[in-house]
Amino acid sequence: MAFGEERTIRNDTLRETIVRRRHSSGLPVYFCAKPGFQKRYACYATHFGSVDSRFRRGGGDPVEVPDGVAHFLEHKLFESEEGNALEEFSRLGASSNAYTSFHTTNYLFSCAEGFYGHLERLIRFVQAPYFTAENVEKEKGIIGQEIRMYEDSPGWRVYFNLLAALFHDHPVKKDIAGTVETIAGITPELLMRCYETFYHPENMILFAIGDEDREEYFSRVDAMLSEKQFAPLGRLERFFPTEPAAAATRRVEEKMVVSLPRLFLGFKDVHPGLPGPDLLGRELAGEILLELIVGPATDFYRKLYEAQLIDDGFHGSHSSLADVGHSIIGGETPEPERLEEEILAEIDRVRRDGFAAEDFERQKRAMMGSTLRHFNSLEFTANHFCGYQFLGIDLFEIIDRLHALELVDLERLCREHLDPARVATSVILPRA
Amino acid sequence: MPKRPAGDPAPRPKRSRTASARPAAAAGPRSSAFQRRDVAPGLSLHLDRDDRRKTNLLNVFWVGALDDEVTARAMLPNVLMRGTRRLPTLQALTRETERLYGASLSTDVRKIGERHVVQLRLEFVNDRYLPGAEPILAETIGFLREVLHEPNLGGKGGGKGRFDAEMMRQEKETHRRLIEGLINDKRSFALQRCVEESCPDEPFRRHEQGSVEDLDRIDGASMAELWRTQMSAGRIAIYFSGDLPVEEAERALAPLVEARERAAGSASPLPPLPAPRAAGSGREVIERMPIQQANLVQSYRTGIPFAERRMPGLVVGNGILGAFAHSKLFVNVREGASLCYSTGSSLERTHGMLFISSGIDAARYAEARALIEVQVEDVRAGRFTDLELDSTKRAFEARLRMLDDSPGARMDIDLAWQVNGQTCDLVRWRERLAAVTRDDVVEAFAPLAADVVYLLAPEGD
Repeated sequence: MAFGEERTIRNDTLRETIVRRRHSSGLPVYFCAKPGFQKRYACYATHFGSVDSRFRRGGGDPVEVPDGVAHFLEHKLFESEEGNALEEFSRLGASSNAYTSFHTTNYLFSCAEGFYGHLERLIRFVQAPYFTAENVEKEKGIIGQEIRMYEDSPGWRVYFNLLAALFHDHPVKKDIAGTVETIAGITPELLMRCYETFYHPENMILFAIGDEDREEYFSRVDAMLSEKQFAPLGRLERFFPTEPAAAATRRVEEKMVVSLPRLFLGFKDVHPGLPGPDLLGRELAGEILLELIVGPATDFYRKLYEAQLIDDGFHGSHSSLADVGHSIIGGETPEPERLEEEILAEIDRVRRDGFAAEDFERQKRAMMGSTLRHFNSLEFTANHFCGYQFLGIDLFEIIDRLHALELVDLERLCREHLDPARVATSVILPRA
Repeated sequence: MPKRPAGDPAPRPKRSRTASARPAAAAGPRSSAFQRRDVAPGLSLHLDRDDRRKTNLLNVFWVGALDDEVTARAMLPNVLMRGTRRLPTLQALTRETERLYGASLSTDVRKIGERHVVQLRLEFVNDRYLPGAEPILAETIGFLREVLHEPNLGGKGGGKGRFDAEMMRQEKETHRRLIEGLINDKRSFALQRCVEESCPDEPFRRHEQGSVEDLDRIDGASMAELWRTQMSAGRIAIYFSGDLPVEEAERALAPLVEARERAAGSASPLPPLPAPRAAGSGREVIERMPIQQANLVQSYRTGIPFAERRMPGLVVGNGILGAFAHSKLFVNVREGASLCYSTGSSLERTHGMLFISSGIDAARYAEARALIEVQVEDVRAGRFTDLELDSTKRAFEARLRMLDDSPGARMDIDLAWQVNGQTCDLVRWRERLAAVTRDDVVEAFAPLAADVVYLLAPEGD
């Protein structure tokens, strides 16, 4: 076996170069050299996340799987016949982990020495599923504890309660780990079915970053990958429900042991079929838009802060998935209802009045600086590069997209997206 | 341990107020990464060149005692961020950081044993990465100089002024909410409660953010006085890591340290750090709340001072016990018995304590506690394999090497050693860890004694 086409992705502002070669198994393999760094980092990611609950491979009937199966699979892949891969990495001086997000499962490690041994271990354990009735049952106990831990986290609850209010049917509203009830139905057979569908080389990415020799890397990876044969993936379809533009529920509340109420105001975004680069542009525009409305440089923030309606945790953030997205504004506050009114009134005002060009240019500068800062991190570079690839986005385009962004783009997004008809509110109230 | 991040679920880290009692971790590969310059008694610069990164990092640390000024001192960096003479509001200050290509100014507070450390942190883009010829280095350091030396005190010249009363009222309220909000994170809340139960008559019981009761005593005048004392006689360590030669960095940072009203003579003395204490009785404290998961924190006294000969054995022993994914707690308590989702141990080397923190199912508390105690006894009795010992030493070696890439982490470690009156020599420290034997671990764990078992449990069990 060998590698086919090669592509070099370079960015002069970031001063980074990534080389991509497609392996004959179908796997895209990436490398980014970081001379002088002690740390080596690699990740092996699949385009399978919590939202992929209904799918079809190569025709036939669509399969529907219980909530939390991608996350469950992530836990189980750390187990092999020889033992727990997490422990094995740790014993050999590397640190390994994995995470599941809405659309990705990512397995990763960092090390200072023995990079190729660890890389081989990563590829081997991700390619060697080992599910037994016994080890699947045992994992339900561990994940049950994990779910409980998140149930005590007000930051997590206010966020997922908001998603559940914003969306009618879209699986983005489901907690990534599922619930104790949904994972109860998970079996070894079900896990294997998902594994065979989504852990196919054509649906995955291998990315390494660090001070290693590029040619040696590709030749070693070739040897590691060539041990296993794969039939072509064929057509893989994911099915998502059609979401109405309006929010499902206007307001949700939950009581927890917290010192102050917590408010998240969310605006729903529905944009099926938006091409990757435009998705990135929308995400950037969304981030800057929220900074211009509720960021700490605004008069609005100053007024709220001085009135003690907010503290420095108050913020806005925007996120875009393939077909849906959302903007969130909020934080801790003694008066959630008053804060909500203030935010809605301010959005109403900016939708009419627009923004000052000077503020917009300053935010672009700030965004440029924070983007450069993020690329200090090997983990950020690798994880985000893979995550965005699955959405059809080249992460390095962030620089050009940022330069190209104009105030009219923001004002259009503001009118279209920050629409009072698309809003939902999630509040956590202190238990009496 | 596999965890799940998500899109953007957690609120962004707060400007200050990321209260974290981080254990003073160990080292990196260079022997003395930071070049030290003693500018005045109690005021030092620590400089390092690093051409691998796209940003420069500047950290200002104030080191004090865990005394009655903890609350006010914890607030000081946040108050300084509320404005300067030229940029009189948080808003104006934020706009300036945005203009400086998103320079990131933040604050932090921590304890290192019975030392209280408050911090202003500034990270900004390296000039080489900026579009066009528009250097910001000097301007950004000038900006930090204003934040440190020219706060927005009322009255002309600022010398006799005080902080604005309304601003102080807001900051005190924000700080009150921050302290009351510690309960929102059940795991760190349980850790703090265990510290309070373990150290009822020691300054170490205090939380790094202070207490709500102290807020009444703080006003614009007392805060201005604290600022003056800190700047003139407080212990200040300024760390810089960036892409310029150390001599140039020293010149560039001069505005931060020159011509301050440093008091003549030495800086005001700090009380000596206490010797490690003997343990209590292993007393059990159970508190209840309407929560889903129980949090168990077990405290131990190590009996070993920071710079003592047995410390490397203790550090490796803690690694075997619970610092890594191959450690006993993870393998036997989490994976083997499915008793918890999270469990791990950490050393507070300056204060001579060890903490084991676990998220457990309250119904299986007795079982979990017993099994955790078995792991501690096994390390003490030398019941660990050569593989466990070697793996742990290898893991520390890797951790120390990778630290080299992170100037922030290296600054934290260098400071922790400095606070303990030691020069941080990471090469030497690595050698000492590598030389640890089974007997060293057993010897170091011999004085380890249980102090308090604290359980934060759901109601109704």
